[in-house]
Amino acid sequence: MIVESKEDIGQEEIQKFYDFCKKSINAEVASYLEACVRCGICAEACLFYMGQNVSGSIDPSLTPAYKADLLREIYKENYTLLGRVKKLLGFGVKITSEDLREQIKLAFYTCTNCDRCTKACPMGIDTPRLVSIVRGALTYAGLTPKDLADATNLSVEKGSPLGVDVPTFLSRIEFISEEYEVDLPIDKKPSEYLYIPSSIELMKFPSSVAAAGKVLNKSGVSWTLSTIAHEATNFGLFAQSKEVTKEMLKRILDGAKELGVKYIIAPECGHAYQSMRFVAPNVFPEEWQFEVLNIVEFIDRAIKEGRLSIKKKVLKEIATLHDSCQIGRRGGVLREPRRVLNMLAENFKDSVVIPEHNICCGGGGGVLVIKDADYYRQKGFISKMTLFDKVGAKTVVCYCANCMLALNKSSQELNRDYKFVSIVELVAEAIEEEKA
Amino acid sequence: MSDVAFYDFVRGPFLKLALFVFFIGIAYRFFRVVFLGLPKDYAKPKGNPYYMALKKIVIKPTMGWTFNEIFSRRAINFVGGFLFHLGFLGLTFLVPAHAFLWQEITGLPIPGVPNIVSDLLAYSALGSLIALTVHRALNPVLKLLTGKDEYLANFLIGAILFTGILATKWAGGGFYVWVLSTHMFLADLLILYIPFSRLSHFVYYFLSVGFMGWNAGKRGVSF
Amino acid sequence: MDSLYSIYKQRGYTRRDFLKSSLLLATFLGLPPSAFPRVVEALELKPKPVVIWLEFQDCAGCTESFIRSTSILPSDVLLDYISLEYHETLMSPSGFYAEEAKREAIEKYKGKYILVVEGSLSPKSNGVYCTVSGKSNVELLKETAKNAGLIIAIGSCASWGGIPHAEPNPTGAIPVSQLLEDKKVVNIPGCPPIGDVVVAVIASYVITGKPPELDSMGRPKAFYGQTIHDRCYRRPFYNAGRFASSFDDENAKKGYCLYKLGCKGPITRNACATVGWNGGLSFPIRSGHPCFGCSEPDFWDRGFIYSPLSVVEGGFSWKKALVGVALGAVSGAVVGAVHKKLREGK
Repeated sequence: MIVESKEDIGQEEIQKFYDFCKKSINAEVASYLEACVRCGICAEACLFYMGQNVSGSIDPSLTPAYKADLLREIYKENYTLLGRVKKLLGFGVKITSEDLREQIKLAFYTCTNCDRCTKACPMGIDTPRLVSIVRGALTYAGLTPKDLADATNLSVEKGSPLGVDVPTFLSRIEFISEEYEVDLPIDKKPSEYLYIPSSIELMKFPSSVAAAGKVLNKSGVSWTLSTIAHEATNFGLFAQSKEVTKEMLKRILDGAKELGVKYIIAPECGHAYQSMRFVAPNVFPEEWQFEVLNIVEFIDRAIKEGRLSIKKKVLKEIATLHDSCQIGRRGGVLREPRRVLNMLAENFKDSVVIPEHNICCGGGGGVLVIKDADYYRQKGFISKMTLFDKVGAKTVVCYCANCMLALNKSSQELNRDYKFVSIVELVAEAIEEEKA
Repeated sequence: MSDVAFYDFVRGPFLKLALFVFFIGIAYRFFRVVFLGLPKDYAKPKGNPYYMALKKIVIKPTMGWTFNEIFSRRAINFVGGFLFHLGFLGLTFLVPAHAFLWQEITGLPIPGVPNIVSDLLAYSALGSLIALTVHRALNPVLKLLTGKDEYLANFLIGAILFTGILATKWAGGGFYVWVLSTHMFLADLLILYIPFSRLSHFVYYFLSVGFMGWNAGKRGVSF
Repeated sequence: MDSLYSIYKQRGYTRRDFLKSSLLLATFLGLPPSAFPRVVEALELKPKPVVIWLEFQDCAGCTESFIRSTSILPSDVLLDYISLEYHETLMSPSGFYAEEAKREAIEKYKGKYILVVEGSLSPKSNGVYCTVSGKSNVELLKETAKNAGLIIAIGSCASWGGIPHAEPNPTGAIPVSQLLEDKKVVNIPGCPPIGDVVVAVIASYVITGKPPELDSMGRPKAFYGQTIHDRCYRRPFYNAGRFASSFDDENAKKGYCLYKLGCKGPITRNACATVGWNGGLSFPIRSGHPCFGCSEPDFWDRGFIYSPLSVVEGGFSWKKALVGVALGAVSGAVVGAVHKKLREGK
C-alpha cells in the first residue's frame, strides 16, 4: 500500500496510466467527457487561472477543461466508433513522459478539487471528478508528487500525515487538556458522539481542539475521542489511492464500532468531512451506519435545539467568512456557518452574495503539501485576497484548519497582514458567561 | 444537372438519408453512454437529488453568468451564445417552410412566424456566430481548447444561415432555385454531420446537467 | 404573301388597331420603345410566317391554349396570320391530301418555315408506339426538321417528355431536344403553355429573324427567366407568414399564400404570374389553387401536389423517425453494455 513517487517516467508508467484511465469510465464520467463544448468559461472560475490573470499573464493551460483533455482522448479512443477508427488508422493517442509530467502539474499542483468550475460550467461538467481519475491514474503509475507520497505513506504507517501515532496523540491530548483547562474524554463508553480531530489541529492549532472540547462539553451530549480513530484526514483521497482511502476509513470504522457511537463529528477539516460523509458509505456499504456531522453543523443544530446559546458577540472588527470548499460547496454546510457567525460578529460582511461562489483557499486537495505548487498557491491567493479587500476585512473566519494553514502561509509569503481565526474557537469563547 | 433535378435530389433521397442517419446517430450516442452504467451510491443525500436534477435541466441550465467576475469578462459568451441558440432554434422550427416540414414529421401543428421575426432571429444568430467564432480564434483559452471540429461546425452553420437569408431576400431570376437548393443541401450536410461531432451536445446536455443537479442535490447545495 | 398589316386591312381593322397590336407584341417581348418603329415595319412588310405543326404523344392541349390566345392578336386574325400549312387537329384536309400539303410546304418554304412540335417522341421499339400513315414519329420529325428555319417544342411533353415520360414511361418517351441533338430547339414548356407566349415567340422570329434569347435549358428568358414566386401577387402574405390551411377556409378566402397547400411557385419558371391566362384574366393561384409546377421537368413524378415544398419528398413521418431512434438506441445500448462488461472484466 505504499504510494510511490518515481523520478523516471517510462513506457511502463505510461501504459499503467492509460489502463487506469480506460478502466475508470462509467456513464457519469462518459457523459462529462462527451459534453464539453469547449466554451472555456471554467477558466474564468478557476482561482489558479484567475491568479495568473491578476498578475498580468494568461496561462491557458490552467483551464479546467484542459485538465481532462488527455482523459478525454483516451476515452474517445476506446469507447467511441470514430475514435477506434482513428486508432486503427494509426492516429491514436501517443503519450510521452513530458505529457505525464504536465498531467502531474495539472492534476496535483494546480487543482484543489474546489468545484467552482463545475458551478460555472454551462453543461454542468464535474471537473473534480475527472481530475480525480487523472490523479488516481498517476498514483497507479507510481507518479504521485514526492511530498504528497511521503505524507500519505506516513499516515498509513504511523497513523497521520504529520506522524502522530497513538502515543503522540495521547500526549498531545493531555497537554491540550491541561493547557486550556478542558475535559477531553478518551475512549469513553457509552457515548453517542465520536469527535475525531485532525493532526493539523492537534499539532498546529491546539486551541481549536480545546475549543471543540469546550463546545461539546457545554452542549451536554455524551461524546468521546478514540485512540483507534484518532485521525480525521484521509490522504488516500488526495492521491486517489483506493487502498489507502479504505485503510484510513477502516481505522475510523473500527474505532467507532468499538465505542458503539451513533454520530461522528468531523472536525474543522475539509476532506475529512468529504471522506466520512460521502465516501465512507460507499467503501463500507453495510457497516457504515453512523450519521456524520461537521462540527459547525453540530453547533448550528445544538443552538437550534437550545443546547448551546451564544451569549456575546466576540468579534468587533469587520470580519468575513471563508468557506471551505469540501465542507461548503461540496458538502452543503454553507448556511450554518453564516447563521452562527451572524450571532458571533458585530460586523460580519459576507464577501459573496451567493455562498456557493466563494473562492478556494488554494491549499486543498494536497496542494499545500507539495512544495512545487507553492507558486500557484500564492497566485491563487491573490485572487482570494480580492474578496477580502472587497468588503474591507482583515479578519477572516474559517471552518477548516487546512484552509487556515494555507491562507496563513500564503498571506505571510506575500507579506500581507490578514488574520485567520477558527469559528469553533469563537464559539467556544462566546458560549462562556460574561465574567463579572 | 438542372437546378430542379438538384432540388429534387436534395429534398428527396439526400434529406431522407440525412434524417435517418441523424436519428440513428444521436440515439446511438445517447444510449451508448447511458448503458455504461453507474455504481450505486450508498451515501444518504442531504437534499433532494431528483428534484435538483430536474430543476437544473429545466430552469437553471447555465449559472455561470451569476458569477460577477465571469460575466464581466465573458459576457460575449453568454449574450452571443443565447442569441445564437435562440436564433437558430427559432429559425429551425418557426420559419413557415420549416414549420411545415416539422409538422409533417411530428404530426403536431407548429406555428409559423412572419418574415420580420425570422429576419431578426437570422441576423442576430449570424452576427453572434461570427463574433463568437472570431472570439474563439483570438482568446488564448479558447485557442487551446478548439479543434477543427468546432470551426467546421461553425462555418457550416454560418453558411446555412447566410444562404437562408439570401434565399429569403432573393428577388427576380431563376437563380433562386440554386440558392434555395444550396441552402437545403448545406442543411442536409449539417443534419448528417451532427451525430459525428460535438454538435450532439444537446443530447449529452440532459445527462451531464442531470448528473450535476443530482450531485448538488446529494450534497445539499444550490446553484 | 400577306403581311400582318394587309390582313388587318382585309378584315376591316384600322391602322390604329394594327399599331396597338404591334405595341402589345413589342411590350410582350420586352423590347425598348426605340425598337417600336422597327417592329411596325417588320409586321407591315414581312410576309406572314409559315408554320408546320406536328403532334406526337400529346393531348392537343397546347393547341387549345394557343388558339385561345387573343390578347395580342384578335381571334379572327390569329389563324389567318400564321399560315398554318399543316396541323392535324385544325386543318380541314385529312389522309393523303394532308400529308401532300405538308410535303409541299417543306419543299416550298425550305429554310424558312417554323416547325412547332407538340407532344413527346417515342423511339422505343422502332417508334411503333406513335405512327402516322405507317411512318414512325422519329422519322416524321427528322424529315420535317431537316429544312426548318426555327424549331419550337411547345408544351412540357415536347420540352421535357412531360406526362408520357412519367413513371414507368412505358413508351420510352423523350423530349424533342433529346432527339434533335444537333439542332437548336426553343422550348416553351407548360402544361399547357400560355398561348400568348407562343404567339410572341413566333412573332419575335418574324420581327428579328432569329429566336428570342434562351436560357441554358432552351427557354425564352423573357418569359421563363423568373419564378412564379417572384411575381406572385400573394408574396406579401408569404413574407408575413399568413397561409391558407385548406381549400376555401377563412384564410383562403382572404387570399392568403397557398404555400401550405402545396404551391410550387418558388421552383417554377413561367410567366403565369405576370402575363396570366385567357387574356390576363387569371392564373391558378389567383383562382385559389396552388401552382403545381407544370412547366418544370418531371413535375408529374415530383408528386405531392398538395404537400408543401419543404417537406421530405416521399414523406418522413414520426414513425420512421422512431424506427431510426429505436435502431440507434438498441445498437448504443449493446455497445455500452459490452463496454461495461469489458471494463468489469479487467
